Amino acid sequence: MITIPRSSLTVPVLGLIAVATALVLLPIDRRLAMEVLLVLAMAQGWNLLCGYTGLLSFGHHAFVGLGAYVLFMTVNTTGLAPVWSILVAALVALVVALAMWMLLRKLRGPYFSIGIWVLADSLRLLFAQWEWVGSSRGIVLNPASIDAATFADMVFYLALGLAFVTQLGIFALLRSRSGLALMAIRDNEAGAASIGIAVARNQLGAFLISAAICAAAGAIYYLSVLYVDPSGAFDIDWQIRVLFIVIVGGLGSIEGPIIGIAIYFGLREVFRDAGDLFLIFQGLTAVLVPLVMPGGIWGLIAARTGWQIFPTRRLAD
Amino acid sequence: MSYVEAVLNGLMVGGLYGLFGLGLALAFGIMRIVNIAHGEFVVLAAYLGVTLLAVTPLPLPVVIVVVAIAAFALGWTLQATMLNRVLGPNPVPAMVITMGLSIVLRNVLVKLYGANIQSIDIGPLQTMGLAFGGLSIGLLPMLIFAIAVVLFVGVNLLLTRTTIGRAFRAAADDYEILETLGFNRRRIYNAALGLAVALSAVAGLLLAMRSSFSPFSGVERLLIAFEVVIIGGLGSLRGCFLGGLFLGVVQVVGLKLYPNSGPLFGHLAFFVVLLLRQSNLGSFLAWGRK
Repeated sequence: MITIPRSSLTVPVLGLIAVATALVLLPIDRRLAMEVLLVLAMAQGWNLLCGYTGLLSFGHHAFVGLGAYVLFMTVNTTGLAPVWSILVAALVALVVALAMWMLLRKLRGPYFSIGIWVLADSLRLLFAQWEWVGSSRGIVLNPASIDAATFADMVFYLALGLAFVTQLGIFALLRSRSGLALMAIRDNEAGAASIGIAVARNQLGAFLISAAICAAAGAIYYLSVLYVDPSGAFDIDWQIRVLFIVIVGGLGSIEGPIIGIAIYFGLREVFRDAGDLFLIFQGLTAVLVPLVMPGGIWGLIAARTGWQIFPTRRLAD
Repeated sequence: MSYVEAVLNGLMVGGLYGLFGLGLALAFGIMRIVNIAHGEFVVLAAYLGVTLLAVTPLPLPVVIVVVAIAAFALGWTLQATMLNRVLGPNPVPAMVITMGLSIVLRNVLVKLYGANIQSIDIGPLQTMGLAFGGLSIGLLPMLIFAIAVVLFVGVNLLLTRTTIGRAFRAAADDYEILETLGFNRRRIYNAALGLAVALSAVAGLLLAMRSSFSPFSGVERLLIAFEVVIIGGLGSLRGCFLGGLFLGVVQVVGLKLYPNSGPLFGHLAFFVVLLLRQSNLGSFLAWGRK
């Protein structure tokens, strides 16, 4: 029978528990940790779509901004607690993503990439015109909705929760039957379709999941800064960051985005006093990676060693 | 400005949008490469033009030619040194490379010129206009439109009447046959990207004479180019031209209705066309043979 060895769960599960414990107990910079965790969640979501189903999206900043705005408007107009408003944000993103899919489903390859980018840009322009959501001035979160004493801890734990639910959820998904389909599509789309895998349905599923994750992450991030405006929330830089992280780390693996995250935030700290140099360096790296190591860093490591930290490979016994 | 003038202005700026689209469509049609840095090349051309006009005594027509030659060299080099190494059915590597390049170009421009909005001053021609029948039309927009039309006609002649043009079309259809005829596929690709970037650069420089730009204008230019290609129908010169005109009119009229809407109306028109294409209604929109 062909299965994934059960024993292979020990390392990743213990590892995740150890990392979570360390993040909670150690005296780290919780603001930075929160950002790292949120971007990790976005990167894993985006990687599920692009790394596995081959739809390279250049427009996921649409969901980051959308999630942020839905949270702010829900909290400010209904008085619902911010924590529950995150769920509302994810749900609205699901609905919007479904509508986007109707528009984009016929576009493939590069057309999908830029089509969704146009959609994201349209949302930015619409929100900048829309008086109810503060137009280009943006909106401030109603201060009565939060407890200042516990607020910083709350957003940190929310980010931690989202990152770990995403990480474990995607790991579980890839070990399931659907995961097998996703990996088959990643390895050979036409081949997968020819043995009866519903490629379009899997692509839609991955698209919806990635949209909800990015919306929740955007909601938590802008909750933590208490203010949202269209040019920040719908900034293409969210998308560029995620793309850089996944491509450099390794597209189509769970380990890749984690390595990419370490490199991205490491570089950002090194170039802390030279933001423009950091961006130029980031661009140069994106130019070089497809030329010198097409599989990203994890691709290189996995090809040399065969390692899997999060095992999803099936073996015959 | 009356609506008639808005439509005429839209048509005239649309000629340039058509050229943006043509640059993108050539690269995609021939090499299957989507150049994400397309918009940054367009903006780079505008900055190069500004600099040449400021520091050299060269007259404007010469500057346009110099920018076109520089852009051709840039496109050639990009294809020869990088994009030829990632040819194949998977479009992702080329998109990532050109996206990285767009980040580099954008931020180098910010470092060199600052993030402020710029414009090109070309003297009295900028404000001259013709008035007839109660309408007043700028001389410069008409001149620019004429250049765009001439370039479209020129590319059409190049593609249909010259060896290199036929080689471009053959490379788009079947590069293996092309190689058996003794052509070097990679050199043809280099020339094709050179031509694509040169066309867009000239359009970018001309657009800079009509409207302002900053290092961050590239994204808008790329999205315009993309919308032109989709609206006009893939892979036809005529489609690019008509798509450009259509988008130009929509955008200028939209800006007249809502002055702060930016490229929003262009985006909306793009989605309307996309929806029509998916229904049977849209078949009449399919211009061109391909």
